[in-house]
Amino acid sequence: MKTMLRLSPILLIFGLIAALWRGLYSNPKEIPSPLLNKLTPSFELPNLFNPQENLNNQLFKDKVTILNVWASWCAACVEEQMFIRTIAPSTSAQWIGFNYKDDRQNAMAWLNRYGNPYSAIAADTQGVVALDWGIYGTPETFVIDRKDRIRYKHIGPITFADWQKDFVPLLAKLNGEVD
Amino acid sequence: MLAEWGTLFLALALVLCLSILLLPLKYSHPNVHLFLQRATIAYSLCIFLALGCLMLAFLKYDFTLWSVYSNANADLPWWYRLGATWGHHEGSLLLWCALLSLWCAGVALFPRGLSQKTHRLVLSCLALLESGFLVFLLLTSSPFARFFPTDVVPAQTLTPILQDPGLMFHPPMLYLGYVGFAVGFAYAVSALIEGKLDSSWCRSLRVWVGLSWAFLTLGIVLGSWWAYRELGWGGWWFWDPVENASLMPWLCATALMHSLIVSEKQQAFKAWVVTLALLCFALSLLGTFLVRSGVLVSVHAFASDPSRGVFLLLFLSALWVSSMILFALRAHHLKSKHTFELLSRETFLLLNSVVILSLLATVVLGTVYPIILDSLHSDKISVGMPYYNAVFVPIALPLLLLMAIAPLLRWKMQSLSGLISKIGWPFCCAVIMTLIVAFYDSQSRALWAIASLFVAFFIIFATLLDLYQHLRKHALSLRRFAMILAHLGIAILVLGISINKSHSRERQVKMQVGQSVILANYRFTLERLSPIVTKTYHGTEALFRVDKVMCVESARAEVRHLGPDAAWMRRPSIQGCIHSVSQGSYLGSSAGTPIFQRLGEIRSINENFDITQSQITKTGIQMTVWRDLYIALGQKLDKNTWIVRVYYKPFVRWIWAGGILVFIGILLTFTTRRKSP
Repeated sequence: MKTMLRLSPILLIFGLIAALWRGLYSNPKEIPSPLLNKLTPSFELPNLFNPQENLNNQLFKDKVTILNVWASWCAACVEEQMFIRTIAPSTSAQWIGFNYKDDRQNAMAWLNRYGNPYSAIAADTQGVVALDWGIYGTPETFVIDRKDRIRYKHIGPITFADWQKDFVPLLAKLNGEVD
Repeated sequence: MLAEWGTLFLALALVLCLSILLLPLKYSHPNVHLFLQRATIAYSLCIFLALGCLMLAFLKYDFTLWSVYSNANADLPWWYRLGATWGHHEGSLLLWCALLSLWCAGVALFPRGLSQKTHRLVLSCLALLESGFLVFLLLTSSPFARFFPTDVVPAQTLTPILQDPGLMFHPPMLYLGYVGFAVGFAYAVSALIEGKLDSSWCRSLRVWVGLSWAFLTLGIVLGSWWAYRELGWGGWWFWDPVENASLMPWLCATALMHSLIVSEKQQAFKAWVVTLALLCFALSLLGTFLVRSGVLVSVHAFASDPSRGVFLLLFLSALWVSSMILFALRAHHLKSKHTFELLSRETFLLLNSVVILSLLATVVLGTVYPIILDSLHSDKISVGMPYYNAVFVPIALPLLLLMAIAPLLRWKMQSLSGLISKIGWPFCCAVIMTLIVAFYDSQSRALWAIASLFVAFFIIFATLLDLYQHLRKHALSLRRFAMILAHLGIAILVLGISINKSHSRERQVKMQVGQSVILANYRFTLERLSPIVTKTYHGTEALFRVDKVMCVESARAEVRHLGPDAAWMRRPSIQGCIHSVSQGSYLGSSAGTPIFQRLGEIRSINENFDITQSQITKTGIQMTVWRDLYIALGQKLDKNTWIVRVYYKPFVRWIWAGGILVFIGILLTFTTRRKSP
């Protein structure tokens, strides 16, 4: 009996081990966005190709939108761009680019080289709007519904597996939603 | 060829470890013992040769090695390349194995009064641990993995934050401490298997655990100092999970060392000592797991994949569970015959253990809780400073009180009146000192500040009294002196922490060239911004001029230092002067005139690393014994404007000085000659 009593702390140890085991398979860097299911933060940013023209939340009106955050200095974005380029034409949503803390010339050269799947690109040179959106790195991707609400946020480059698992069902659902 | 040699040496070491394990323990031919000793030294040598191979590969730019390719480039100076040997996951694990084998070789060479049988058990147990880590290294994270680039691409480089002299010393010292507890683990296992534990066992263990405790102390102090300089936030301890990972075994080792004194001298606390020795290593393993598996986000976490974590977790669970079972089955054989009175040094040392373990529990909880919560899919939280301030400090303060009193007590029995007469003087002196400080310094009047000042003074006076009494009787042993030194170190550390916390000032401002900012009684003026281009980064160096600000009260023509809250400052004239200074007008008001006394210059550099696309700040620090002035050049806002963080950090050096004193104190305890039993 005494021995059994002495063995009891092992249960505690097993509990700790189980928690650590689960911890291994969850990504500590993945923080759910507090903006999920909220209206997009309002913004006013110049169009990358035409700095005189300002882009704002009107962009998202009545359309399902994928907002992709990228920069020409971001290595992972190149990899992602290769993938986006192949799927963008057949996507049932508009692709908007969000150029983050970048130089205009570099950004345009980058698009020339790796392709431009976006219907419009907002340039956030100072990274000020990015703060409102909770963007802290590139690449990041937001999915926005017709009513201007953020429905999903993806951190890191989108891979084919991510696309199949997270994006395709969501886009189908959003396109099916009636006003 | 270097890589092949390295892998070969590691494999050879593994074979040697396994051969030690496979030799039947009961086989009692005298040569078996000799074999164990020599094989242990041999595998240790092999692992160090492997480490040497990796260092050479880094020095010779062997870019066909993945570890070299991804952590060094041609522009890195040789000393950083040497440090880069352990500046990544694989290399740091190799260092871990090497240092573990160093301890094993030490135990093999110096049995220190252990019986042959115990010594054999200890060596086998160490070989088991070593082989576990070698398998981990070879299977999941070989530092000698080859990599053949298909085309010429610019090599990666060592993470900029690691490009600092701290890299050369902090990891080896810390690891030396961490892995040293493996010896304690092996000793505990041997005591459990044999069912006995005697004085020579304790003495021998005290040396090994004490040495690792000393190195861990130094490692933590170095790490704290490095974080202070490098991270640019003016803090010296962040309660980062990885910092906690090193604090947990440290606390446990502290309890262990103090209990060992009782076991050695009074034959008591035997099962307790074994528990602590097992726990100590279990906690270092937990720390390794937290750092190496990627379950945490931290400055220390290298990129990692789960397979490593799985292996480590299996290994550490096997060790945890098997040692717990062994303990449950065998602990009752370790009988402590000794009895003691309620008021005695034993009781206080036992209390010390209990309080330290509660402290430990708060740290473990704070570190593991977010992981547990996340694993239950509830919430992502992070536990930080407020939790520890609320929980850690109230437990630490009574511990410090115990620390002041316990050394003055007698073994076995102490009369209450004797105790009161002993601690009476130090207690009164401490009260008076605390009152004086609190009277003159309004910022030290918070409850926690008064309490921590009091305990620090109490420790200082009590240990000084102890020192005096021993000196007067000509009975001061070196070991006693070492204890006094270590306790004084803690007192200095507490003083440093307390004053630093209550008096620190910081400001974050936008600055352009020519502008200045006033903090405490110092004025910082941004004099010049100049571009810097080196091989590894391009950056901007900011040159700040520092002046001490004093206000002259013209009515009395008296110059006094401008302490932020001093009573005389509340006079309207001086307030006017200070106000005008902080508004940027240096003319002063009618009654008070500011004077600026030039103190010197501080340079801070903002570095942009081209390869890793990252930005770090080299902080500029001007230090004296009493305070640090600390500037970090932050982000560039536009062409001329920068964000600048300025800090006034009083007594911050005392924190590390206290730590170093503890380190020296612990080391000194081993210089005493062993008495023949």
